Amino acid sequence: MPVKFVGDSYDFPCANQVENYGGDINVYVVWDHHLIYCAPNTYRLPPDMKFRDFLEQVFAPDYPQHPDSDKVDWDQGVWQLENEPWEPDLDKSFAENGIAHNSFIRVTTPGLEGMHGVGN
Amino acid sequence: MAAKPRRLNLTQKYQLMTRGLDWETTYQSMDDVFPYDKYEGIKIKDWDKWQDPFRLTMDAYWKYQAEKERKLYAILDGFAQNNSQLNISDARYMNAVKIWMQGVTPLEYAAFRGFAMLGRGFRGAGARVACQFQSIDEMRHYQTQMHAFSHYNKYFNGFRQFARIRDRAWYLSIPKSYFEDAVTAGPFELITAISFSFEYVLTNLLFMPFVSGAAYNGDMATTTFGFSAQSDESRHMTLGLEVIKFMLEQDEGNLPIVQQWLDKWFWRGYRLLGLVGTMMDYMLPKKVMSWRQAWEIYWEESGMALFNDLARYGLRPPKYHEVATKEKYRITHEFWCTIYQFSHATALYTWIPTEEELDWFSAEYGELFDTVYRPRYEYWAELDRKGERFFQKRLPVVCNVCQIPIFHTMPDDPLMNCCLVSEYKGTKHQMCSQGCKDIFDHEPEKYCQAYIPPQQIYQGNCGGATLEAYKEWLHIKDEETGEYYGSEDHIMWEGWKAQSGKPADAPA
Repeated sequence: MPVKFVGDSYDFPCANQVENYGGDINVYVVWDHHLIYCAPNTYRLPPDMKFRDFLEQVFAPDYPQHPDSDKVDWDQGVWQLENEPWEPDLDKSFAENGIAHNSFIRVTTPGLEGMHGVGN
Repeated sequence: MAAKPRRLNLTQKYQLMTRGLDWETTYQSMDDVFPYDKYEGIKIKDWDKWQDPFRLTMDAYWKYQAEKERKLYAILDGFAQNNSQLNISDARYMNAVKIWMQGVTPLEYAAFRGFAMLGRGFRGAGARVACQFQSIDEMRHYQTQMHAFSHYNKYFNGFRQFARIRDRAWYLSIPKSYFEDAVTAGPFELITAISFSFEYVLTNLLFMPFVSGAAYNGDMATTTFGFSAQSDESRHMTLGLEVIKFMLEQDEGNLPIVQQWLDKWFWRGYRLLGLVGTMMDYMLPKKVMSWRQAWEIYWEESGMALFNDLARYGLRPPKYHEVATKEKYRITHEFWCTIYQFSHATALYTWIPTEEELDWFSAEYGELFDTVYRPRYEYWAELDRKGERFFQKRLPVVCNVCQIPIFHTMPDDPLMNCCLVSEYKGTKHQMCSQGCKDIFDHEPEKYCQAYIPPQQIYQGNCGGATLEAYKEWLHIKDEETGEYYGSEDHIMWEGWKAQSGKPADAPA
């Protein structure tokens, strides 16, 4: 059901549209079962960045105080894009992997289920 | 000889001073004079059927309120003159007051504006008058809270620029967006959202922890304004119930509209109260009751009993209330963990609960607390002892509706973040729950405009793209953020207690 409004029209741009990012995109990524870091992270990045470069140089360093962060092997990751199973090519770029503005990526790493195995 | 003027009885006086002042316009159509009370689709056949929930006239109102003001300010003066800030249970408690001042007091002001609009917007004079009284109440609450807290501002950090951070800080966009969502709706939705869903259904969950918690923790300033506001609050609750009954009795076509509003505003109110529950569980050194227990008493018992009563109008309990009930074991812990790791970007202090407090949580929250949250706190405490206090540096994903960082977990899996996606106009939007996603999907045109802090930071609209630049833009100084132990508040408190000869951590 559409919004009810007074007047002739009700039409506004999305506050988070890709046009507001000067060629970059926003990407949302969570390493599941590492909940001492409470929420998925937000990144503003160029779409031609290689996915592996992002994981190794940007994403992994965001979990500095987690004992699992030294052990992670992203090639063993089990991936989801928009909560659907997905198999990225880590050596291709975001764009080549179909990662668009505001994509939500989750990864689990079998064997690394957080401290005490309870997702911490 | 002229007849002695007859004194009016209360009913006559009320009639003359409210509906008696109203008239049907003739030079202009009533639809032009009241242009906003039909577009939402609510049909009112007869405004005269409105049952005034309280029969109060302006002269009586001034008299009651003036009396309450005299008492309130006498106590506040005494409070200040006697250095009563020394009587609070512990300086950690002050963070509950800060969060109230930063997050809730501005809502009183927003409510003053909202009810002023309603006091003009409805064509029924009874409803207009009730809203005008409430509007003045809300302004009074805003002022009395500010005056009560101003004494604390002399000593404690975190109070000094509440208005600026209310407009800018990520964690205060939660209450801010809640109210802005309501006031940008039509008048019937606004009054349903605030008077019924919030003030009638959920208010006990707000006032119980805050006012009782204040009393129990020795904060007589807050306790006094709480009591001073109480008679106003009971009027507001009565108004909320009358509005719902009135809409449903006027036209059966109103039912689906009202039900959708109740679904939406229950969920938004519940999400907002997560912040209050967290304050209650974590920021009250002397505990009143846990969030879990409050939820059981005030929602599972009282709230459900209310909806059983309302079933005769065709209403059912709000959607996803069972999800909220499932979350009662985790929501405040997830919220505290979030504030704890982001407290370097708030005007609040956070800390790891004491051993005794952890035991209280174990008793109140049971197995989930012991297996998940307690080990998390123990790990963070260990980092702290090593001088590596845990902070999160990266911006989180934030829900496009409730504007809370998506720390929430899946209803049936407390170990996995819940992040749902809706696409509108080619742009994806993230939500924390099915409750928030339904709200988005119902009116995407509205929520696609939401000002979400991390997105705005990355777009360069908040001082810069780093957390440090953002903090500068907030005007938050390092000394008023982060870890409580070792903070200026903590050091001052310990100094006071040393002078009084009592140990710092002992109750006053």
